Amino acid sequence: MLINREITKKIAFLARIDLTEKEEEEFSKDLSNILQWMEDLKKVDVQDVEPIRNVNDSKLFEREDVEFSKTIDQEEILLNAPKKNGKFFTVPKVIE
Amino acid sequence: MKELINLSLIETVQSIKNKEVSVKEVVEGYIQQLNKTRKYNMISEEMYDESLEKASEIDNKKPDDFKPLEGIPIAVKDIFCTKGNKTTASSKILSNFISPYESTVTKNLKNAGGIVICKTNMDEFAMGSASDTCYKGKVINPWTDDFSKPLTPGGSSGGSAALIAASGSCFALGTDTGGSIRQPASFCGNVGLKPTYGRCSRFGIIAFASSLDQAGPITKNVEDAAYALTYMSSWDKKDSTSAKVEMPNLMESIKKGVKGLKVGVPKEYIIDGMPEEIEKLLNMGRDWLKSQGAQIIDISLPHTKVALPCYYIIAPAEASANLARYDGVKFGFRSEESFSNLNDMYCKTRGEGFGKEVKRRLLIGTYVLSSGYYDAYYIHAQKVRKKIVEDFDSAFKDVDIILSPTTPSDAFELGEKKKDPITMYLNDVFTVPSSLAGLPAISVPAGLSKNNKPLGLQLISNKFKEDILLRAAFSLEEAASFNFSPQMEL
Repeated sequence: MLINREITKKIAFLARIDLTEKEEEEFSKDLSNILQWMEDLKKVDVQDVEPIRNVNDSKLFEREDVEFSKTIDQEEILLNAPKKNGKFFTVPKVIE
Repeated sequence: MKELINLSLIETVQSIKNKEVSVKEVVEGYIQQLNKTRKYNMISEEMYDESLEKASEIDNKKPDDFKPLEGIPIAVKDIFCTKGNKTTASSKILSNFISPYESTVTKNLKNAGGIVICKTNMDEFAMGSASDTCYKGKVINPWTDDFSKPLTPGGSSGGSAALIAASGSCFALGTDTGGSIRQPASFCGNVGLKPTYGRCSRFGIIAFASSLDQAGPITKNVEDAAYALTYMSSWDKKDSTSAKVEMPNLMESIKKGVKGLKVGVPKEYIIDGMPEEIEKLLNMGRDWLKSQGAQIIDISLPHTKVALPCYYIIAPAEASANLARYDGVKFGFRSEESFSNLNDMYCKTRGEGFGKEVKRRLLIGTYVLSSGYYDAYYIHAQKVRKKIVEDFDSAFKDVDIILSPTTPSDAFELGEKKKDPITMYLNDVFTVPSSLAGLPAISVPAGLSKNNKPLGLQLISNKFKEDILLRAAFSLEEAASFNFSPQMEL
């Protein structure tokens, strides 16, 4: 197995996702199989090939360096906040 | 006269324009049908009251400024932000999100007179090929005969495709990242069009894999798809990848026929273990286009086989970056558990908020982007992607259009491919390569399988050549004359 439970746990923390023990086991197996399946890719000769980043070769356009017009106000944004206090989002204590 | 709900999009536009029907009658007709077809679980949010209000407004206004989609009810995949409505991407993590802004595509359609009648269920964050990962339950294909063995409508735009099959609307919106418009359209017997990457703005579409995501219409026929795309697409300064390339006049070119067009059939698209009926359908497609004057050429796209693994590195990698924003702080769901610190809150929120397939892909994406693996997986995949693009570039030196099956099978039973994720991923074998190359492609219903379920054929054209794509699709549709609809027990 390419991916054991320790690695899965490590990746899950990097992705900030809690997994159950059952999920850890299952995903270790799935990820191993998927990565195994991807081995074929390594057979493709890509020497001197530039990695592609944009399929349309479109150039990024420039805009005037001016302030964007305000389209959404603060109150509207805060409507979706799971927890808030006045004009602020609130989170658990960060400094220990 | 045909029943209202059986009219095509263009027929509906004409009927409204000629005052044969009122917008209210059209909207009411569809609401009635949607109420009758609830068991297929296609809808995430009903917007009936506001739709009826809009309808009356249009019926009562002055008749001289008729817009191209005036009064047309549109079913919108729940991945498009619509202002003031719930927009969830079928995920628990967005289950309470009310969008404070409007996606550019839906804004364009509303400006053209369209009415959003409902939002449709989908695979969570568009990750899936069966519409079975929605947090509100699976979508069921209206072509299902036996409800104890429900069929998948395909995915991820399964709610939208099922809804068109169930006559719940004449125009539905989908998005396609690796086949999510074309595969469900094929499974449900309708037309699904994925435009060139950049044709439609991605602004306000919840991002899955940003270098691949593209919006497109699902309709009853090819002409409707051309008409719908005309009013969806635009260059948008809010999406830096949207293309500043003028759209050819699709409606003008669509009936020009395929005489003189060169159609390539890639040998790599005939794969091991593919049911005989799929190959037979492909051969019929060849013959149809040939008899209409197209020249058929056998071509090769040598990197077809590695397109899927390449896609399953690039798409999850981009997804893991895009979905990092769901942290339970600014919007969306936050776990109800108690937290020891901020990280604990992120981990619990995301652990509870994401479904299994999304977690799986986020783990793949995080792994291939993690230090030590980035070059071996992600950069390597981007190089392979370049080879796939070059395959198509070289093919389009010799041909105008590529013909293939849309899917390697007809609609399968829900749950059938649950055990092994790779079996599910293989569904997209014919649709993923053109997605990686950013090419426009369409699925046209072309026949029935031995189980009497719809099968589609796919056409792919070069970038920004939607006019040629739709011309060929129109001819294929005419020749195939697919005229079946599901026998629903309502």
